Amino acid sequence: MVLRLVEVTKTLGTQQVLEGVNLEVAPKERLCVVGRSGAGKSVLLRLILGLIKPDSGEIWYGETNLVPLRDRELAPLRREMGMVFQNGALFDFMNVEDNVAFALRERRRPESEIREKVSRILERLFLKGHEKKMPAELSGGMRKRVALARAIISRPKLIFYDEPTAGLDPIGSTEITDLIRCLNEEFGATTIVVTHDMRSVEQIAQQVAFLHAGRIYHAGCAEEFLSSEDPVVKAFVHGLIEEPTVGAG
Amino acid sequence: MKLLRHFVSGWSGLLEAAGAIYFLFADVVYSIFRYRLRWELFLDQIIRIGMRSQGVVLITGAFTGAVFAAQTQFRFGKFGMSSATGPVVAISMLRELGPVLCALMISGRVGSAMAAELSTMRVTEQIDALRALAVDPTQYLIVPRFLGLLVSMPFLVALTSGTGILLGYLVSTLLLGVDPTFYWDNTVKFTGAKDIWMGEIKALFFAAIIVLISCHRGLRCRLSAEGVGIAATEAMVFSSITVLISNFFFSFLMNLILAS
Repeated sequence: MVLRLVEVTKTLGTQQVLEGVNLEVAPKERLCVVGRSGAGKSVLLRLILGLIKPDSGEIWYGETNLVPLRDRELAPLRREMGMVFQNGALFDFMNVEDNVAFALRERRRPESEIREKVSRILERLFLKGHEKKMPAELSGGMRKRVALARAIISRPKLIFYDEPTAGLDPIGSTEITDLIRCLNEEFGATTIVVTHDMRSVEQIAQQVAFLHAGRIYHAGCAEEFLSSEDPVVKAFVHGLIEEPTVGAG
Repeated sequence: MKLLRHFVSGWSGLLEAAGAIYFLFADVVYSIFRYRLRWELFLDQIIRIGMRSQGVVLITGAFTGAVFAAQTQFRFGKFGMSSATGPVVAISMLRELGPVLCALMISGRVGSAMAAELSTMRVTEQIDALRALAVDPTQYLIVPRFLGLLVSMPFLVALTSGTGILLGYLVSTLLLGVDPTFYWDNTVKFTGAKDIWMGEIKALFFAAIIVLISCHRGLRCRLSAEGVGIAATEAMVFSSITVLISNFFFSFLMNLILAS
């Protein structure tokens, strides 16, 4: 397993968001972590990346438990990971080209190699001609693609996507999900996508982990999840609202 | 009871912030010695902090010196003490007014901007993105600002004090009729290198205070648009107050050291 979470708990403020999450991710797999808004999906990604620490539990990346590591100790491991934030989190003081080149410049790659890789990836993500634009001048979909380019340019072994299709129109959404799938097949990086969009799950997922009430309620292959007869899973997949209890209120 | 609770929580908040600023300082010092300096970012900060603040501190120093010289001469002239006007203006500008007023202007102009910039980066997850890309935010964001202001501040203080002394001289001699040679001779006679040193050491100290407090407020802001505004305001208010209070103790300490 490339990634393993063991009994991970996390409380934010007074709310216990995760109550003992167990999860295993195989190499090169495309996993979608789904769940309702506020279920703790994004928190899970932040925990794996070490941006926040769990209250208890273990997070294993290969043979390394990430939990006790400090930021500086995590840095070499983070170089093997890529993250696409929900709103892109592009550096607003840099243009598209510099944003995408950032990770390579940090690794002090030769400028000729950086230029060549940036040009290639921008072309691949349909961003050619927008190199000199600032993030504020980009549409939502373009911003996501730039964030995607920035995350994958250094060929990470593990890529995280936080709600990659949120706020996009259906065509933009399909473009992004297609890219996620293609990039996974091309680069062979393990892909973890956090989403509550069932269309994205259908298009991307090989495996699905359903986060419900602070735990992984269901984990299995995508087809199994989408056709599950479990009432909780079914209600989530089909967007069914539970019937109000008779006499309540 | 409620008053006591407010008092205790106020003090514990203050101590917590002081502790966090101390750790930020330790982190900055560690990063300076541990990692390579990002020259491009450092020089950019010198331009943004140092060069672009020259106008503000120049006006501040000039008019403070002018009005201070005028008021001193108005009073001292009555008692035939015009000879003291030059040295009083020069020593005050070099030791106190130059460093303190410059620091106040810089905390307003630069400190609040730093806090607003960092807090916006925090709200828009840019700081998390840096960490996710294996870049240390202290090294990338704080160290260039810290060193940029540390290098710029002595020059800005020198500019503030220098223009204050110059304009004080011009007001006293051209407008208030003090003999120029007499004024200048007394100024040089009673002003020493230690007056300049005192101002310059204070400049370094105030620079560190402004950067650390402003960056701390920026990095710890609440995740909202209001939080960004509050961080900018607090950076300016807290660093100004800290400059004023620490200046009092610093002046005493420096007098003891330089007198010996």
